[in-house]
Amino acid sequence: MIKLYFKQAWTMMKQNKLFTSIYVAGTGLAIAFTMVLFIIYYVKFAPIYPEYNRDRTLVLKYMHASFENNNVSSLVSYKVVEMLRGLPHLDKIGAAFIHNGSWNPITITIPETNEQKIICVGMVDAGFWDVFTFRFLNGRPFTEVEVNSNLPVVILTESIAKQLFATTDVVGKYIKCNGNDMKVCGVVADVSNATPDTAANIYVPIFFDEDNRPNPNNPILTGIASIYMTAPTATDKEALKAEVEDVFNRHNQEDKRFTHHLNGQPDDWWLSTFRNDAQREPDITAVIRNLLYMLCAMLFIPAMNLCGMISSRMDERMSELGVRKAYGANNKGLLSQVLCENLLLTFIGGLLGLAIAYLIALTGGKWVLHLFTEGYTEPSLIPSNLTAEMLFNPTLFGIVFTLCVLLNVISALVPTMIALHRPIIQSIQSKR
Amino acid sequence: MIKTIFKQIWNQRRTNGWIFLELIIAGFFLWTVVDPVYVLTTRHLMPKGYEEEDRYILNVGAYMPGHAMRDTTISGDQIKEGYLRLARLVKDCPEVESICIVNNASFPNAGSWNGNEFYPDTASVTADRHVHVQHYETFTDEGSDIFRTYGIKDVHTGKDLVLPEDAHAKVRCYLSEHLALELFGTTNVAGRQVYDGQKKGFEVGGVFKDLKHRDFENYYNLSIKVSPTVWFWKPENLHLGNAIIFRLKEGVDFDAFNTRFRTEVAPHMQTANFYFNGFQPFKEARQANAEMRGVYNKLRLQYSLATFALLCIFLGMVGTFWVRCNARRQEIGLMRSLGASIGTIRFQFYGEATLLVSMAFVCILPALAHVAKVNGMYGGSTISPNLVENLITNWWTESIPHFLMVSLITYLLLLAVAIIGTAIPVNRASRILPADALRDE
Repeated sequence: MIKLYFKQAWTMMKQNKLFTSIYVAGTGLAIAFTMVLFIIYYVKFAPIYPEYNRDRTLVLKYMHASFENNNVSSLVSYKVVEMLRGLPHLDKIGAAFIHNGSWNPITITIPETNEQKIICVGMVDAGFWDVFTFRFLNGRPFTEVEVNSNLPVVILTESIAKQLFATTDVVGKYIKCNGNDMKVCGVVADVSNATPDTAANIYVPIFFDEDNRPNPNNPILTGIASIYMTAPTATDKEALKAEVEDVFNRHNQEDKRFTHHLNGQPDDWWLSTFRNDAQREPDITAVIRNLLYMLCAMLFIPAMNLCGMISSRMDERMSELGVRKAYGANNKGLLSQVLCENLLLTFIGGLLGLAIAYLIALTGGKWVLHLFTEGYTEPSLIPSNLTAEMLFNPTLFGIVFTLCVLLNVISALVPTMIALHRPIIQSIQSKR
Repeated sequence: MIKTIFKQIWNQRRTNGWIFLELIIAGFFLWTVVDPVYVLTTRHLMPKGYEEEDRYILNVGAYMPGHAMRDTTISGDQIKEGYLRLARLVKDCPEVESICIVNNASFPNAGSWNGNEFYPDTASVTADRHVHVQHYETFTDEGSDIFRTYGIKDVHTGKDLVLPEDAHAKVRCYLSEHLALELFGTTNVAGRQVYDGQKKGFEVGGVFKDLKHRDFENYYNLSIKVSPTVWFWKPENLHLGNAIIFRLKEGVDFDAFNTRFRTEVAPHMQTANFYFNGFQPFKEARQANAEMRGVYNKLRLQYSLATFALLCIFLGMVGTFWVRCNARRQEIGLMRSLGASIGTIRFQFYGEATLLVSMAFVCILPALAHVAKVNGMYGGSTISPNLVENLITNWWTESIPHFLMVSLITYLLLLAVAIIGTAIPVNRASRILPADALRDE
């Protein structure tokens, strides 16, 4: 029966080209815009290279300290890493400071021209390579000794290695960073700017800038790092959060000179992407409200459009429905037929929409992914590309399918029900 | 004619119902999308208060601690002399009209923002009569002249403000027009005293036309302090705490200047750990600032959503009127055979579209007014939340004009798209020959 419905729908599509075009375009528009929205948030939240552990990662981005009537807010001191090591539910812990060159830029020397090129540098510790799942094309991550002794070692991204040496097989070679020779100990696959917590052109030990090393005599825990922790499993995150909170409560009790406030941190990964203020928790309710508002508009405006078109078509088919009903067809059967017919059109629209969404995402790659991000800057040299795993994955296809079904039901159900509730006589006479 | 159109709309109320509902939802959504675009665009269109053309920032690099090429023996005085040498090298270029040395928060669209409290000389500084001001600071070394370089205009003459000959000998403050009015109630205040939060008095040097520090913001009260010589609390970061800005002479080709500068002048800039690191045009700095603060992203999002809503309305109108034109072929044929012109038929359909849009918009206006009253209109700002209330407002951002303007723009957009959507099927249908149209009758 379903096959017959689709066959009839296909024939009607060919007969009513205008209806088909407008229906497909309307559906495509809705799916395209909604999909762009989903792609943006998928890239923010889902496991993506090199952040495959996002589901069990906690983030401590900012520290707010108060003393007497003064407040200090900043990133976190590296001392905190030492404070948190050994927690029962802590799997791995790492710290990073992404230096994008806006203040006191770091340069590498381009060998052929001797030109000083400002680059984005990830200053990271040894644990960073455990928390994040970088793909090493050659070499290895930093060791604890290399980080703590601030040895002149560097890890290059694939594109920088190729730019400097025309190959990625460069372990053991030297590059000039801020005029100093640094030995390459590894090369990793490029990281897109779509993952700003881990994206850099090169990686150096976190104490590359000696000012990053915490002063043991300074009791304040503000500093330069963002701290990333993984729990053994996603379900252990809550226990780890409680343990981190407990560490800071005890610290505040023991050292009364400063009171340190975590403001709800450490955050789940998804929540950390909304935290831009050291003194306030992100207003998630407002974020969700805005997103829902947009999502509803993106679904309901085209749905009203499609409702109007389906309603017009139902008027044209009233006599056909009347005859079918006169010969015993029930409303349920007719309703499922109309829904099936429209579902075919909706799926074609869905495919068109998905193609448009990919086109938007790929052509606007530099800014589309940062559309909901305030304070977006593109660090030097980093490509802001979308990768295949960000675009082609079962989750996104599942969302497209769900949206198609949802849109189809919203737009076809009401006009069809109204049409089917007319008496048989009135339906048959409508053609006269 | 209007009566007939109303009758037609009523007769086809069931098919009109869907497009009417779509117009209501899309109109409401479009209004909320247009509001930020209206605010940001009007702010962008306000006079900047400075000239952008031919103005450039000299990017100064430095070998910082840890850099292999850093000379650690250089003293603070040598660093300052080296920095002034950079300014001198630029000033001496024949293509350069003027230069200025300013602190790093004192040029339009700078990343930093300095503020202070100012008091008029007629009140005690402890009283609650202070005005919060944004604060620029410039220095007179090497003939540095901020007014000539930026093109800041005297509020009285409309020409570039002129620094007095003794500018290097006495610290003066120059006030923006709005600041002078707020402090003293007049702009004729040259020679009077203003006091800062530390009770320090400065002579007012003059009053300039309001200047916009960030492109997509309203004006803020601004003072420009002209001090004798450049400084920074950490001498080795002198280049980070300050900036050298220059203005090219009219008609100078920047590309040619850039090429000559890089080959002939830049090598001489390797001094006191400094080096030449390129130029940034004012326009580029403005765009980079707006990008960094998320303004362009906001606009991109709003434009995308507006496009979406308008495309939906367009498709809805095309679909509705296509079906309607087909259903009314006989009516069109009759009208044509009774002498109605193509224009009359088109007018009737356009009238239907206009009435539909207008009625839908009238229906959503009370809801929009309620939303505007409860949630407020868009007032997004990139400056610190506790300073937003000090921004200078304009009549077009006051509640009622703001609401009316956004509503009018939304209505016109809706109407334009609806008419275009209607025109396609109607133009096709109105050209039909009466005989063809009446064949089925």
